[in-house]
Amino acid sequence: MRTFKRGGIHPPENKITADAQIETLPTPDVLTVLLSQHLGKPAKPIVKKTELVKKGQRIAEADGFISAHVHAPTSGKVTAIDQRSPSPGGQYSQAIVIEADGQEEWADGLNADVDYASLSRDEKLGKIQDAGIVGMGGAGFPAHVKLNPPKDKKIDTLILNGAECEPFLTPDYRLLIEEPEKILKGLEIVASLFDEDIKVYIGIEQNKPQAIRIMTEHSKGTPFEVVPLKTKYPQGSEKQLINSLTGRTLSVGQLPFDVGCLVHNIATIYAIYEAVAKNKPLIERVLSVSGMSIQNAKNLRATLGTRITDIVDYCGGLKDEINQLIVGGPMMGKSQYTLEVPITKTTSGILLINNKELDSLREMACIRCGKCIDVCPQGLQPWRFVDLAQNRRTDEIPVNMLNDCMECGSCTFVCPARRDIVHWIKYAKAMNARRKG
Amino acid sequence: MLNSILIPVISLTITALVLGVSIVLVSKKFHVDEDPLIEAVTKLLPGANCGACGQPGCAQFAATLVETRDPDLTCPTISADVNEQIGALLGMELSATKPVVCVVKCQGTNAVSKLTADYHGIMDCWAAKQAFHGTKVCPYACLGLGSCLSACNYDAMRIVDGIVEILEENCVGCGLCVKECPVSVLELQEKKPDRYFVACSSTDKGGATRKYCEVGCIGCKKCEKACPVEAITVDNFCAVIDQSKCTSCGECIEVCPTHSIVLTKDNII
Amino acid sequence: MEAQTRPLIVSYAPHIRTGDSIEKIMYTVVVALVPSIITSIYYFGLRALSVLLVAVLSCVASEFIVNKIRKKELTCFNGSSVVTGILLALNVPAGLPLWMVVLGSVVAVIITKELFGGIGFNIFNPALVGRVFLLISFPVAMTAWPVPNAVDVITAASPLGILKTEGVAAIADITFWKLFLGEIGGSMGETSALAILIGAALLAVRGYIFVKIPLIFIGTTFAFTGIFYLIDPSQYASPVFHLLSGGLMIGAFFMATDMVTSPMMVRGQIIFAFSCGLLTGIIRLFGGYPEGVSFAILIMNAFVPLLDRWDLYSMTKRREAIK
Repeated sequence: MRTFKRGGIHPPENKITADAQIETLPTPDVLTVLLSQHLGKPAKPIVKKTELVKKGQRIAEADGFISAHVHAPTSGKVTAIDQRSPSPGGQYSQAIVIEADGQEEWADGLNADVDYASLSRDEKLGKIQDAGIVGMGGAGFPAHVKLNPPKDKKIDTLILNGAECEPFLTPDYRLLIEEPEKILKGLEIVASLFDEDIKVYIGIEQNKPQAIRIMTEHSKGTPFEVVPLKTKYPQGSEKQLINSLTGRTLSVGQLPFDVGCLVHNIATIYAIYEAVAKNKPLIERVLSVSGMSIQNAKNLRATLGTRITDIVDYCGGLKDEINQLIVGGPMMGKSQYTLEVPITKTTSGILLINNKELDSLREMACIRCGKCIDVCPQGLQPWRFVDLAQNRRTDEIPVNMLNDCMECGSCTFVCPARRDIVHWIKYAKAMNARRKG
Repeated sequence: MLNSILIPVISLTITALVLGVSIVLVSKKFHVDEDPLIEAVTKLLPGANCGACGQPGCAQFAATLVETRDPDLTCPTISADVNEQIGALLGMELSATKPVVCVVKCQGTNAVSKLTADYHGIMDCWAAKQAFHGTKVCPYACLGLGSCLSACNYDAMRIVDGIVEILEENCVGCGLCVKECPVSVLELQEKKPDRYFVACSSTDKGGATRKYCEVGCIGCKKCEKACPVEAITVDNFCAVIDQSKCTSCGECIEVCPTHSIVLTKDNII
Repeated sequence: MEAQTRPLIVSYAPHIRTGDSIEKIMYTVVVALVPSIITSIYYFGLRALSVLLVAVLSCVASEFIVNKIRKKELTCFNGSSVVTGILLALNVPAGLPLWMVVLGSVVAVIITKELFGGIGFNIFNPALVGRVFLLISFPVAMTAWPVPNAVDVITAASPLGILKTEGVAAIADITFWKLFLGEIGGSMGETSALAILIGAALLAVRGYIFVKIPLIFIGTTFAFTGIFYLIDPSQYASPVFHLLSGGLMIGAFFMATDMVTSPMMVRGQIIFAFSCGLLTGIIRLFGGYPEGVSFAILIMNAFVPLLDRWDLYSMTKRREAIK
């Protein structure tokens, strides 16, 4: 069973929505479309207040090289350009508020079949860029930039990330089971952007046997290889995935294309298919609504810009008062301070939990047990980072080591002294950035 | 028996003498000639090595001052008296130091300013700003977690009910806390017997400010109209009092509907 | 359907943790020491219980007092003082005057742990420092080993003591089973190797001790004493005897594995354990004291920060070398 060499943990899986078929959430009356749903500069609005928009119409343009377009998720009227909308990232963000007219009228030329096999590489990349597709696994890196690496980096391996190692989250799993054809066609489109002899892996964690079986069946006759992976967190992290499937290790400061690899999330590949084959921009996504406090845990296909309160209502409301709302998974997701937050391109899950432990969590002194070093998938020394950060001596941390930390949270998960390790590491990174600039 | 005592005593005494003489010789050989003025100036400085002057420590400040004789190189924390004494030592006129004190441009305690959430994380203002936009709904408010406190070398700050409070008798105006604040809510103002200032940094429209804070400035301009010397300007829905024009008449504080204007009586030595 | 009225908690990722906490680890160690507590009371009577209780109470009280003086949160109930108290008690003779036990506890907790900054900051193992302090200050009282299962309070030398002063011939009648089960003279907890092994097994299963440290430690001592035994069996006792007598078992499984005072990474742990074993052997065979475990561990505790630094340095260099 293939897996990555160093570190890793196995938190309780809690995949309570594993058997819930994807339901489509009806478009709500009000949609708050954030202008920053991706890495890089936020998009600039190109519509004004009271303007009428159609479904899929571009309402904000990418600003710069690393940026993405934003589209109207439904037809309706722009009621406001809100400068201070709450966002899942925690900060106030700019957003376009649209009042739906219920017609779901597509803009011209969209939602129509396309003969994509005859398209050139640049045309395909252009469609992906027009659709505003970003990495939907959580990072939000613009897909058209990722699929167009610098000319000197030869890509020989394409990896489809079906690991979904975070507890509770199941949207990728359900997509694999319910729409394997579209995913494989999307993979074909992406593979066609590179050399013919590119090796394609589909990595799926072994706690999803049904998905492995279905994908293996459907990929018979294609050069794609389905590889079951050991269930270990953070299997879905691209550095670890590359190591598991190809054995290559990224050294300090390297990116996947430096070792000839490219990793994509399942939802992203699905969106790429819809964009290239059907001219559909990215305006909806599948997410899991889970947690012990939600009445009915579901997997939903929701329109971007839907507020979490509407989603909670659709799922039957809360069983009891929650003390935490998490967007994403419990290991790397962000906890929210309000339910008025809208969902974005990178929202893969919503967790409503009553975490009793949080009420009494206190940090204690490091007892030098070494567990954090054992589990760190990047082979770092988390205890030392925290030690130096607390004493404001962050300049003594080797910068490349600090940047290698992907904040997966394995160290904090195992620490018996309950130290907030990831937060201190993030703090140290910010402190170093402040000192420099 | 005498031998067993005599030998150790003699050997240790000789070792001590040899080492002692070596220390004296080494200290004489590697002695660094320093201008005695530098030591005299250093003695007059507070010695907290706060770095507010821009030099890495009080001793270095003294050394640079003695070397360059730059009249603009001043220590912001000393009184005018001590500044004169230093000037006298060096036989030159130093730029006058204006006594300044740190001021918090926010009154948003937990009682009057709405909180966003129950924050469970590192108790540091920058850390909270990373996790989410801050403990208070007002994006300009003091977060009250004490990043400034950890920068203060003079014990002049404390956290009370969710915002920072300056202990004026200890504050020397070095300005290190001002640099630490992530929302720039701290400011250095010149000491005055009756100092009026607007304790709010919110540039939000009045209606919005009112929703999340009871004592925030709503930009109503009543103070601007009431001021007899036109020292107050309302810029972007937040009033600012120009201290150089203010005559401390107190008219503004009477008319302010949200009690955003604060009077502090400074103790000037 | 519930309406959300209480404010949400904002914490930083990850939002879930394992069940482990410092309290859980410490109280599991206490449970692991229960077999040794039982055998100590069985062999040495109720005096053993009183020494134990006094030691635990004094340790917790000392930490409580220091917490109050420092005006910080109370850490005395997190279990580490309780463990120190029990280990200290198990390392002294059952008949030790109680005031000495209190003194040892105060030294162990206040001087070795709290003065350095509290839990996590101490360099030396608190229980061992307490024990060695008592040994050096009150050598007679600390080597008056009560005879096990005796009705009256008689004391006699421990097997290692006999070995040091009278040589190999004098220990010939001490059988393997007596050594293994604990029917010998010695401090309260070190006599029964069986009890210690049961406790250590519990900790190993839970993953709270790095098993390689005690195994390498004991293995090295075994090998070292074994070599000399083979050279001259009339002058040196057998390695099995050395294994089961004295504080080697309890020292290797409970003192050398203390997380705070042992190295964090593998290479450091191996060097640490090997050196402890070697030093124990050297002190036992050639040193002035009959027992060397406490001193060996304390000496190596002093090297632990250096070993950790070296491992840190090597790890950094290895990462930079990956191209």
